[in-house]
Amino acid sequence: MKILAVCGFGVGSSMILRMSIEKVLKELDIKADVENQDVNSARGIPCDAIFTSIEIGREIAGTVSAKVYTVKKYMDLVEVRVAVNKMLEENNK
Amino acid sequence: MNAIINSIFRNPPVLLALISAIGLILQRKKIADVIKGSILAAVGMVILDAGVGMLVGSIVPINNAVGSLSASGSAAQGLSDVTFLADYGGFVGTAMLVGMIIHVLIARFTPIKTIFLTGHMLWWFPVVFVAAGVEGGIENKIILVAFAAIASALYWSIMPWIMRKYVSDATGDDSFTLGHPAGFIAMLSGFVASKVGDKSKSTEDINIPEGLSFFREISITGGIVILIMYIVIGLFVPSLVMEGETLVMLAIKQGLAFGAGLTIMLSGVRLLINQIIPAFKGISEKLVPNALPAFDCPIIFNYKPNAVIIGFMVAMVTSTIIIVICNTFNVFGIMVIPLVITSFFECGTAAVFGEGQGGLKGAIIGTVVAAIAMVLLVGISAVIFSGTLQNWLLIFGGNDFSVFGVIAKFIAELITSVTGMFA
Repeated sequence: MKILAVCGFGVGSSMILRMSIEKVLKELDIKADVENQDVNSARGIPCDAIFTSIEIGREIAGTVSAKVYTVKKYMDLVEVRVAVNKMLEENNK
Repeated sequence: MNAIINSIFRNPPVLLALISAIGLILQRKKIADVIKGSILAAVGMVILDAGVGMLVGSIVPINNAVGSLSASGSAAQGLSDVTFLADYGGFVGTAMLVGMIIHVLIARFTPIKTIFLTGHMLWWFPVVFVAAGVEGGIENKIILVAFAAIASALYWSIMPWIMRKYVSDATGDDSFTLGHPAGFIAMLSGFVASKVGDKSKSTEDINIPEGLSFFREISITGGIVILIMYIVIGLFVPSLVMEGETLVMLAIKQGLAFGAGLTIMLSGVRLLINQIIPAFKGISEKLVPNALPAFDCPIIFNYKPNAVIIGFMVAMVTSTIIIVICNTFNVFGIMVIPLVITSFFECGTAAVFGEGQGGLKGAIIGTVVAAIAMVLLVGISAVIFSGTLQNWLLIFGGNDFSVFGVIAKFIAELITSVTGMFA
């Protein structure tokens, strides 16, 4: 599974989000490739899911084929866990 | 042995590969991952260089064309942005590593318990401080690295610590702080907002048209601004356009080059920093368990998204007016170009801080003041860094790079004169 963590520049805050997602996936014992990217590059990268902020989520949804999951506080593991679980559920359907 | 060490320092990609290898080994990665990661870091450094070259290349003709008008002409320059990184990148990498160690020690042993986790800023602050040392005349390479490392570590520790009240006022969350060069102008905005603001009406109460949100894509907005800049300057300075070219096509070409350069530079920074930050985070979490993490500014943008867009627009308008005035009267002796990146990230942060202290009114007035400060800071710092990072600062300055870069340059001059007495 390939997951993108996306922010405006793809360098700073998406890196924090990526580390949170990786931590949650490790707890759940799920192997996945998580990458941080900027909005434009993210559009060109095939992936299974995209995690980002609510604002960028609005921007990017519809221009990518992958499902978009939004997180408000990137470093909040509880919120990230909810989003990751939602993704796993929808992927299993 | 000396020759080997010297040649590594003159080859930044190799040095950064070594630093990344240390980081990856400390994370107990497999050999294959260590090799892959360190090569990626080296590739990242090469890409970063190419991106900065492209960015700078797209704005140099503007300043050259304008410079050719003044009688003095441009002075002979020893270094430029591109050759500076190629010549000093290795020292920057070393200063970054040493600075990160000092920074963690400060958090471990003093009451200032910040851990700075904005990856690309762990790279750019040593860049600015090494340049400040070079501009200040420090020739001894050990002193230069120590100077940049200590200056960076002090910045990473102290600035986020000072900002934490503004961050918690704006977000209602005191579990983190900001690690971003917005610092000085954002706090200026917060301070002004606390005096003149009115908390009863918030930026988040108003509706902002969704179409405006494409501003978030800075490579697009930046490209458009450069395009407009070329057309405006070209109308006044026809020599900007070479024979056989038209102004419109030149403007489009340079606008696209700016957008592409920015995208390239960012992917270089990403490759470089991705190898180092997770290790740094892991180590610091072990050594300083109760640390206050300092994050990149978009983290706080999520709390006040309207304030960010309002701040960006207020800053673009205010700063462009000030820039036109400064350029018309040739205040700085160089052309200042509209600051898209600083207007978005730094002034967006300034607006969020302003909102936290004084609602909508505070956010707007605070950001106006911050944007004026930004233009003055860009102009002053670009002049002072004329031999190293001038063009880079014209794109990325106007923030703490300018404030502390200039201060560091004067401290470096003091160090040079003191060490000179004993030489």
